[in-house]
This record gives sequence, structure tokens and C-alpha cells, in this order.
Amino acid sequence: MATSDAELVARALEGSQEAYRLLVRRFERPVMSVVLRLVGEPALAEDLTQETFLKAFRHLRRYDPRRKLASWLFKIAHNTAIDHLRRRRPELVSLERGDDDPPPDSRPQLAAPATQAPDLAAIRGELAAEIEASLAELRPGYREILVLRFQEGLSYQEIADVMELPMGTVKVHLHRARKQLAAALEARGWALPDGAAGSTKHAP
Amino acid sequence: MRHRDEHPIVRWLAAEARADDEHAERALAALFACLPRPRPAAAFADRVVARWLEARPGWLPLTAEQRRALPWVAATAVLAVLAVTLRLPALAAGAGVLSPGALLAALTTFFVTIAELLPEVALLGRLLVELQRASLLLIGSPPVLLTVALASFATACGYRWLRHHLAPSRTRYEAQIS
Repeated sequence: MATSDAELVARALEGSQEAYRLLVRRFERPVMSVVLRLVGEPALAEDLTQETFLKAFRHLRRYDPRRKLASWLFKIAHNTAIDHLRRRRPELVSLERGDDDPPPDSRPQLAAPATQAPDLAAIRGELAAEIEASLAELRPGYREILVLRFQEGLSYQEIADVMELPMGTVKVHLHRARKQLAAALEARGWALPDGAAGSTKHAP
Repeated sequence: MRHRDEHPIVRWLAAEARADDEHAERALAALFACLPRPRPAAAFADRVVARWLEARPGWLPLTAEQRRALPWVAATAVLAVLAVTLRLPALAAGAGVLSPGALLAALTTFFVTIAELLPEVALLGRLLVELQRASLLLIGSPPVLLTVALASFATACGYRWLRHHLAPSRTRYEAQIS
């Protein structure tokens, strides 16, 4: 039976090195995913992920077992990445700035070029490539909020805790992020078919 | 223009266009499920734990080697203090060497003599002399010296522990995650 997060934390606080190791293995990929969406560079994301875990271990006694450990880690990851971005380039951080163009070096570098093979793996590969390329057009904060909601499955309240925003603001940002993602996909050639229900779009 | 009706992306775009939040969220979650989660380099967890073990603050800010040596140093110190308090005075006296007690007595006598040579003073002067003598004799005894040393050590360690655990957080992210 898998050890629960709370049990792992308790064992880690008692000094078990194996518990620390298991905590990292359990959350390294989700945490790195969130950090990568903010900073856009895999090597930097890995460094910041390591820093996130070290900070988490330093403050492990403050962790409240009533909260999800993942949410707590995402909050530390978010703050770590934001602090790094602010030190490097302050104008990247705001979600409210007027300029819609993200800096070129903030785009994640994960997606491989899509293939046209009909098998499932290829379709997933194509989907991933299209979503990645479209996500790259969004601001870091919007990328992060989409990942937290749709990849990590956090609730609105949990996202509000992680990003330190009111829940209403989270919903507004999520709505805008979805609209921008849809616009980016349409710009890449995806569109609704003619006559789609409720659609005002049409192929050129 | 790509618009295969059953394509997951088109399904999502259609739900968004209809403002059908429930279907749109489900469709978008399905799209995100296709995204690979980045994987750190091999042995990432081992590296993190190794760094943590080196960097973690203890109640004494020692390196790993110093922490391993600490029990041996403590045991040596205890043995040394015990030897000094229990055995050395007797050996020194037996060897004809002036014992610490005798030195202390000589010093005390010296200060008492000085005090007595001072011009006539009031009752305060006499009280000061008596207090000085009693203090030197008391402080000079090995058990008291040991107690003072241990108390100082415990106070220093307690201060460091309190400073580490009660000091206000200064950085923004530390305040926010607490």
C-alpha cells in the first residue's frame, strides 16, 4: 500500500533520508512542470525545482497536513520561480501588462514536431506539439494557471492559495487564458467546421 | 484549415465557442493529459537529498564531519573535566606542586591585604572585602567552575536555537509559505 503524503512528511521530520527521497520522486515531475511553464527553460526549471524542494524541507515543520502536499509544494515552486523571474527580468511577471507578446526566451522547449501517422501515439504527439506551441504564445502566469487547473487538477481555491490571488481573479485569469489559448490554436490553423453549433467562426 | 470534427482540439474549441463550460473544461483537461510532464535528469532525488543533508541547519551550525566528531569531543571534554576536578589536585599536592586551591588562597590573601592597606574606609569597604573573599573561594571550587562552564555552554546553545526558530522571516516567499 502506498504511503500517504502525511506519513512521508512525518517520517522525513523524524530524519528518514528515504522519506525525503520518496517525497522528491513523488513530486519532482509535477513541480518541474509548473516551474517550467513559468520560466520556459528546462535546465533552469530543474535548478529551481531543486531549490523548491530544499526550501520545502527547510520549512517542512510548517506544513499543515490538512492541506494537500502538492498544493503546498506548488506554492513554494511558484514563489521560487517568480522570485527568479523578478530578479532576472521584472516585466515578465505581471499578468496585467498591456504587451501581449511574451519574450522569446520564455517559451518552453518541450514539444517535438508533430507527425501525421494515424496511430494513437502519433495523435497524442501531434496534440502535445500543438498545445505546447500554442501555450508558448501565452504569458507565463497564464501558462501556469492552465497547468495547475487542467494538468494538476487543482481547484479554484487551491490555485488561489498557490498564486496568492483572490478566487474571483483566478476565475477571470483562467477564462482569459483559455480564450488566448483558443486564439493561439486558431492562429495555427485550427478552426471550427462550418455550421458548428453556436459557432461564429468559419473557414476562410 | 484544420477542422476534423472529432479531433480533440476542435471538440474543445467548439465547447468554448458554445460557452459550454462543463464540456470545455473536460475537453481541455483531456488535451492537457497528452502533454508530457518534464522529467528531471537521472538521480535528481539523490542529488536533492545529498544537498539537503549538507545544508540543513542543526541546532549547532556544524558541517557533517564536525557533527560526527561532536560526540567524541564532548566525551573527551567530560573526561577532562572529571579528571581535573577529581584527581589532579590530589596528584599536584602529592607531587609538591602548588595546587589551584593554594594559588587561589594566595590570590585571595593578596587582595585582602591590599584592601586592609587602603585608607580607613567605612563599613562598605569591609563588606566589599568579605564579599570578595567569599566569591573567590566559591568560584574557585571545581564544582562551581564546572557548573558555570556547563551553564554558559547551555545558554549559548539555547540562544542559537531560539534565534534560529523564533527570528522573524525576512524574505517574501518564507512569509508567504508559513
